Amino acid sequence: MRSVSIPQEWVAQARAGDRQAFTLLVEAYQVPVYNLCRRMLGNPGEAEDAAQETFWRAFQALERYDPQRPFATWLLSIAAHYCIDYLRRQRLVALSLEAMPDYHDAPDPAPGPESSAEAHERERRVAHMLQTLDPLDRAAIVMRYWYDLSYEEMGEALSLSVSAVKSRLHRARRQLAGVWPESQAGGLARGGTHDAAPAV
Amino acid sequence: MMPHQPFEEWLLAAHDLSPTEAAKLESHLRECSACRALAAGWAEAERRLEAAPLLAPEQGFAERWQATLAAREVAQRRWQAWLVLGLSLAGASALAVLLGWQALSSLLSPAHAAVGLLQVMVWVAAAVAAAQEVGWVLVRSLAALVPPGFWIALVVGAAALISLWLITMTRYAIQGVRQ
Repeated sequence: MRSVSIPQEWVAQARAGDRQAFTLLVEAYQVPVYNLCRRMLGNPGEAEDAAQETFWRAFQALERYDPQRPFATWLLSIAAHYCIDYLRRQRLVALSLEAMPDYHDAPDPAPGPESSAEAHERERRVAHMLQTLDPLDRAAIVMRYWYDLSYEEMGEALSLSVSAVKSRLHRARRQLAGVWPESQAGGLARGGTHDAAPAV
Repeated sequence: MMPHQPFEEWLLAAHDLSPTEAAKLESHLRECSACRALAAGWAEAERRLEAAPLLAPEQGFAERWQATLAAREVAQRRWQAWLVLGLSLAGASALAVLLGWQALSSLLSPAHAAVGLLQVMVWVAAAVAAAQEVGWVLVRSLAALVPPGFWIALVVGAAALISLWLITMTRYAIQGVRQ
């Protein structure tokens, strides 16, 4: 990532009760928060609801926010915990590829030569890989590969020790390495295309 | 069976390997098909993860957030209002039950209730008489101790405060309270 930089006054103003300042924070962090929810849940509608819920919880907990911590990490922590709890409640860990919903993302403002079908197929494969992971392992992988968080930041966000974060990342990588050939075979069987082009 | 550790650990490590470790791993991969498959699988999976973009919500997310905030705050206020109303109703119901029970027992036994009421009235009258007696004793004692000038000053001061209060209330009544 992919980091978002915001004026520090926004956070202070939002904590002082300025709703407009909080709305600016929502605008600034909507993509990172939504992306985390989307990668965790795999479903655009649920991701939207989860992102809205994340901002609502953050809004209500602003008084408890420690300004010494990065605001983005705090927000991502709320989002990750919400998604993990949601997944555990819904028992969607073993969601099958056939059950994956269609994607309805906002259109790419500058579409490249690749067809959108290929992009969707790539997203489907990434989503499928992530869906095979335990929710907490998935959160660790998402934070590592989309947000470049350090082990310490991940541990803080996920309420884990650094060694537990490393252990979960290792387990998740081991599992993803095993999943990829299956995902590729599934994609070939379904779409008949072999997507090797780098994304975006 | 060929041992896969520490090669599997190295394959999935997030940090760079030392030259010695890299050479050992390369040598192991030439001989071990399982680790070769793991390396290929992870390389592809990691490439996919690193290439995947940040997904954005549909346009108008902040506007939807503002609508969500407004709706939730209304719901929260409504819930609080229902809570206060519920507690008030519960309190009122408890009081009504208590009073109803008392009224019912009075209706069922009016003589007993009348005696009870009379006892209360006698008790109140006795308490008032006792308080009056104590008050007079205190006033008489103080009158003997305090000089007459103090009483005059006390009466004048009280009259001044009452006059001030009356003037203020009259002005508020005539002019109203400005916001």
